[in-house]
Parts: sequence; C-alpha cells; structure tokens
Amino acid sequence: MIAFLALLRDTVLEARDKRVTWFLLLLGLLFVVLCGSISFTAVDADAALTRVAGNLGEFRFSRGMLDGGFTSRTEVEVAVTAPRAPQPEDDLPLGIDSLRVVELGFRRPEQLDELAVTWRHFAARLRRDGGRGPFVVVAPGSDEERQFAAPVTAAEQLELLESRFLDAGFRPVLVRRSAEQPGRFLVAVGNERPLALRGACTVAFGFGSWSTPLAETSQAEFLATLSVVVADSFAGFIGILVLLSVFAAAFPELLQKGRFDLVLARPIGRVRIVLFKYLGAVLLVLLLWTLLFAGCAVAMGLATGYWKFRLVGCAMTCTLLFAALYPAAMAVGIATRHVTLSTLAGVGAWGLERLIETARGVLQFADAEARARWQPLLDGVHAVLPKAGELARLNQWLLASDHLGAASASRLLGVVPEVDWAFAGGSTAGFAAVLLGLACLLVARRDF
Amino acid sequence: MAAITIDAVSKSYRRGEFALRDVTLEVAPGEIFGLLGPNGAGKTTLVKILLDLVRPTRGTTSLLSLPSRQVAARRRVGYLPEDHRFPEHHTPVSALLFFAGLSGVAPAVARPRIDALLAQVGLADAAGRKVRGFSKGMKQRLGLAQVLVAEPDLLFLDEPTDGIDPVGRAEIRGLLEQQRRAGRTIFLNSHLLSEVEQLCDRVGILARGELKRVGSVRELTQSAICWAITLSQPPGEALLAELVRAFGDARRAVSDGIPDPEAARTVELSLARDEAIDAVIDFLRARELSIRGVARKRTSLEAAFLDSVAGGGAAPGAAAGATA
Repeated sequence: MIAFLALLRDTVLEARDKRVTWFLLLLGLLFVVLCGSISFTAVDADAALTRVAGNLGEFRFSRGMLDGGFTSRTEVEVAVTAPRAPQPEDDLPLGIDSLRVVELGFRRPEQLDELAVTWRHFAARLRRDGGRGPFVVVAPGSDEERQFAAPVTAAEQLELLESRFLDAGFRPVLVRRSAEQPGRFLVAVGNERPLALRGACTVAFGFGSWSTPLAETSQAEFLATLSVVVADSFAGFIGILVLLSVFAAAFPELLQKGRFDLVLARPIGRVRIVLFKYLGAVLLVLLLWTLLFAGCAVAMGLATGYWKFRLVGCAMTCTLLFAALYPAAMAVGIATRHVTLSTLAGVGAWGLERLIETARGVLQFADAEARARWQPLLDGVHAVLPKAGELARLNQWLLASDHLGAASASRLLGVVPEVDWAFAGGSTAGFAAVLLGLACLLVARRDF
Repeated sequence: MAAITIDAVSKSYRRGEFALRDVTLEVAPGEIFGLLGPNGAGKTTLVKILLDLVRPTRGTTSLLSLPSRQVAARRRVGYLPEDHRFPEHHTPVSALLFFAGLSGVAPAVARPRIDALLAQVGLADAAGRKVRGFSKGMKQRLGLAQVLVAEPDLLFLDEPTDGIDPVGRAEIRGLLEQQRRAGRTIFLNSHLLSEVEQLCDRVGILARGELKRVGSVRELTQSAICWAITLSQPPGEALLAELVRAFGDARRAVSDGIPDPEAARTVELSLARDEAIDAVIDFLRARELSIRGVARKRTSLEAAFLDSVAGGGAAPGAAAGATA
C-alpha cells in the first residue's frame, strides 16, 4: 500500500509538472465559472402557450442544442383565444393551480386530418432513427402506406393536439372537443414543471452580461445540453486528448536509462509497478473529472437553483474511456520508449473507433453492395476497439434522464440506438486487459 | 552467510556476445568489495544481474541469502546506478519520499531520516528545489541519499564519486566509512583505483566478462614481490637470460621514457618469496658483478589491474610504486 501511494504521489507530481495539465485545469475552471454564471429569466408562460397553439403545423426534428435538425411545416389556419384562467363552466379538474386555458378553432377542420397524417410520418421517423436517417419513401400499397393513408380518427386528433402541448413542456395537458362546433377544441395546460417549459425563458451568461431567449428549448434541456457539452465535448474530447498526452509520456520517461534502474532496484515487482502506475493514472483522472463535474454541478445548482448530480456520475464513464485507451499508450510506450508514438497509440485507438463508428453510420446510406463489402470489416474492427461512442451515449443518457422526462430526453438525444452493453463493456474491458497484459509482459521479460 | 553470492553466472546476448563468463564470487557481510574493470568489462551487468534488472543466461545469484529473482531480496538493498536520472518533477525531499515509499518506508518514518540524510550529503539548502536544476555533483549526492533512505544492509554503488569535486569525494568516502562502521556491506564499482584502494577490503578485477582476480588490495599488490637490483654497469642480454633461467624472471628496469642512467643499470625480478633475493645476490656476486643497490618494490593496484586486464596472471613488477 505504501509503495502504491508512493507511485500515486509520483504520478500526481509528474502530471502537475506538465503545462498541458494546467491548461486542462484552467479550461475546466472556465467551465465551472461558465456554469456558475448562468441565470434564467422566465417569460410569461401564457406567451409560450400562445406560441405553441399558433404553431401547431410546425414539426421540428430537433434534438435541443445537440443537433440542428429541421422543421416540417403543414399549413393550418387556427384561431387561438387569449390564455385565461379556467372557468367553472369549463368543467376542468380542480387542484391544479397553474392551469391555463386556450380555445383552438380550426377554420378548415380537414387541415387537422392533414396535420395528423404528417404527425404519423413524423412520429414514425422519430421512432425509427430519431430523425437522423434518410427519408424513406413508403412503398405504394405497403402496410405502412396503408397505415399512413388510413382515415384519421377523432381520438387521434385529440392525441395529436395533446402531444403538441406535452412536447412543449406543459404538464398536465387536457384537450376536449367542442360538442357544438366541429373543429373547435378547448386546451387546458398546467405549468407544474416550469423548468421543462420550452420557449418560456431567456438565459444569461457571464453573470448577466449576455443573454438570449431559449426559443425552442426548455431550461431543463438547456442544462442537460450544457452538461452533455461538459461531459462529452470537454471531458470526452479535449480532456481525453490532453490526459492521454500527459500520461502517455509517463512510461517512456520512466524507462529512460538510469531512471528505471532506481525504481526496479526497490523491493517491488515489475508487474506491480506497471499496474500501480496505471491505477494511479486512472485514479488521478477520476479525481480530476469528479472535481470538475462536481464543480460544474454545484455551480449550476447555485446559479439556477436546479441541483442535479448525475453529471458527477459521468466522471466514472469518462474515466472508463481513459482507462480503456491508456493501456494502448502504455504498451506502445514500453515497446518503443517513444513519447510521441505512445501518445499516438492512445489517441489513435480513440480516433479509430470514432472514425469506424462514423463510417458505419455513413454506410447505412450506401447501396447494398457497398454495405456487404465493408460492413463486416468495419464491424470486426469496431468489435475489438474500446467503445467510446457507447460510453458517450451512456453519458448522454445519464444526463438527459437527470434533467428530463422520457419524451424530452428522446427529443434531445434522438432515438438512442440499441446498445449491447454486455458486449460493449466486455470488448472495452478486453481491449484494456489485453494491452495492459502486453505492457506487463514487456516490462517483466526485458533486461533493463 | 554471505551478503552476496554469485555462482557461475554467465550472460550472453543473441548475437552470441558474452557480457559475463562463469563469474563466481562471494562477498561477506560488512565487507566493502570493489569491482574494477575497464569499460565494457561487465561490471554494471553483474550488478544489474544481482539486482534482477538483467536476467543471467546461466548461474544464480543471491543477496542476503535470498535469490536475487525474489522481490524480497531487494528489501534491504540500496542501489546507485551509474548515470542515474532522477525524475525531474521531484525535489530532493519528494524524490526521497518516493524511493522510501517504494521500499515500504512510510512517509512519517522517512521524513526525519530524509532531513538528516540531506544534511549529511550537503543538500539541506536545496531540499525544496526541483532536481532539474541540479548539477551533476548535486545529483550524485542525492543519489547517495536515495541509496541510504531505506537504511539498507547492502549497498551497490556504481561510480559513487563520479562528477564530484575532491572535497566532496573525501566527504563521500567518510560517509562510506561510516556505513562500514555501521556494519553495512558495500559493493563498489569504480574507475578510481585510489578510491578503491582506500576504501575496499577486497577487490575483484573483471575483464572481458571474466573475473580475473579477487583478493585484498594487499594480496593483489603483493602477490608477486618485485626487486630492483642496481649494478655498476648495464646488464647484458646473456646475464638476463641466465637470470630468467635461474629465477624465472628478469628484465631491465623501465624508465618511463625519461633517460635515466641508473635505470639502465637496474635489473628487475619478480620473486615468489622474499628469501629468494639472497640467492639472486649470490648468483650475481658469483659472476663478479658489483651491486650498487637492492630495493623491494610494491606493485600498485593500477599495475595489478592493468596486468589483469592485459591478460596476465600475477602482477609483474613492471610498475612504479612505493619501495619497501
């Protein structure tokens, strides 16, 4: 234990001695300050209600700030009354303080059916691939075509309208058809979760020095997106690059003539030195990410009043990614004693996985022949590499589920592809274990 | 129980080159043993084999009765490699805490020891400075401190005074004497013969991977007794041949290139026993040669070393040195 603590302390001192570590810490601190400088100013929920009611024909394939998406517009002429408090004659359930009511009048009721058909397409596409994939032309005469062309039922109309307001973040939503006037609906919405309400606030950065309205995004989505940026873009991209470059140098430097002798002459086994150095680096990265993410979570909580701590859990997933990639840098560093090659091995394993993942995505749009030729190769290479993409998805899921309900999470992230977690975890751990074993073997067998 | 046991150790490389051939040696506890040899003789390889940094092709070694391959064998061992490099992110204090930690010494125990050691090696004032700014001499002093930080019983020192000024060398010699008094065994690799001569109880001479000679400094320098006999006139070739036939050795004295009339008249002989000089004198007097002087010469360690390295056995008298 004393030897492990000595190596851990050495790892800390070594990392502290590198400028790039300070760059990473400074950048992390900037993120913490950024998170702490955010403030929201709520705009009137009635304005958000009016906006949603007035834009019923607009479907956005949007995943918050993570993806641009696009907008589908269906022409709908609808009259919207000013939001009002519920009246006894509305016969609405009691006990919901924030309930507001608007009445919708479709001037041409058939437009509601057209809208419902568009919604069927929209929902099907979202279900299929989160709106990421290509348009699929529905084959004439197919079951899907028949489903899309089927007459719109009254229940489906109510469901459509309800979903539009739920999607905007209102809870609860009650939609009732007017018995007297066709094409007229009463919509009562609650604002029980102001955090989830889209387009109902402005966000300010830099302690109020710069602000912008959140037109299509709720506070919760904004905070979830910001958390994803911290965990995935900063820690999962810049952080991984910096940390791999910092720690990749450790073994080539340790193995320098005259330096390793000093360590090897001590009563500690060679394999233990490698494993302790590895474990020390992983623990240091975990500590670094935990402090950064906890700092961001606390800063966000102090600034906005929303205390969400699953961001801290992302420290584990980001560390797992480092723990999976670092053995590649170690093995190459030990074999070549070359800092640059060692760094390239760690970053290269990560970059290759990202490249293969992207290529597999692109291949979905290719013709069958290209897919048949390339898919097995890409799948084979992807199978042995650490699953950086899956770990990023795990982060996104953690953060989205912390801030958002299922529907909003789906809107933010799109449909998360099915992940075989056992395979992803197993192959990632296998990659790390094989390379770590190789690193140990190289050190154990070599003369120094 | 020997502190160091080396039993028929050989080390060869893939290209068939031998670094060590069948080296056998024992070093007793409390002894200071000096290993001499030219560059590439295999001194460092032998130490590295003892410390399990290099694996022997054949043979076994043990430290303090434990096989060198066992981690526990290094528990009571300190090592100062030649051209060692300290991690540059360390200060002397953090470096010594690190090495003490690797030896299983807790920081609370190591800290007072470190303060004392830094004062002892003259680095107390630089305790908080990064190692990267240190001179070679300072690094060498720190190296000695790291050897001693875990209070080992057995010390391996490869060129411990390398890069240190004469005053510093004297201080380090004092430090090593102190370790000897504390009962520690020291295995010293050095090019500085005078240092080895002053410090070591026994010396081994390694050349081309073979241990040529082992013994105390006295044994190595006096294993052959050299006599210089100055005659009234220069000896002829016939006389020298007769002396060789009768006593096994005889040659003209070497004057190191400086014209020396006395050297030209001097015959040098290596004799196995002191008493043999009487027979030599009788031999010369029987030929009516006039003797002007007889001197007993001591072989220097350098001469013994050079002779061993050159491939000879017993040190010849081809050396200058103190006369008896």
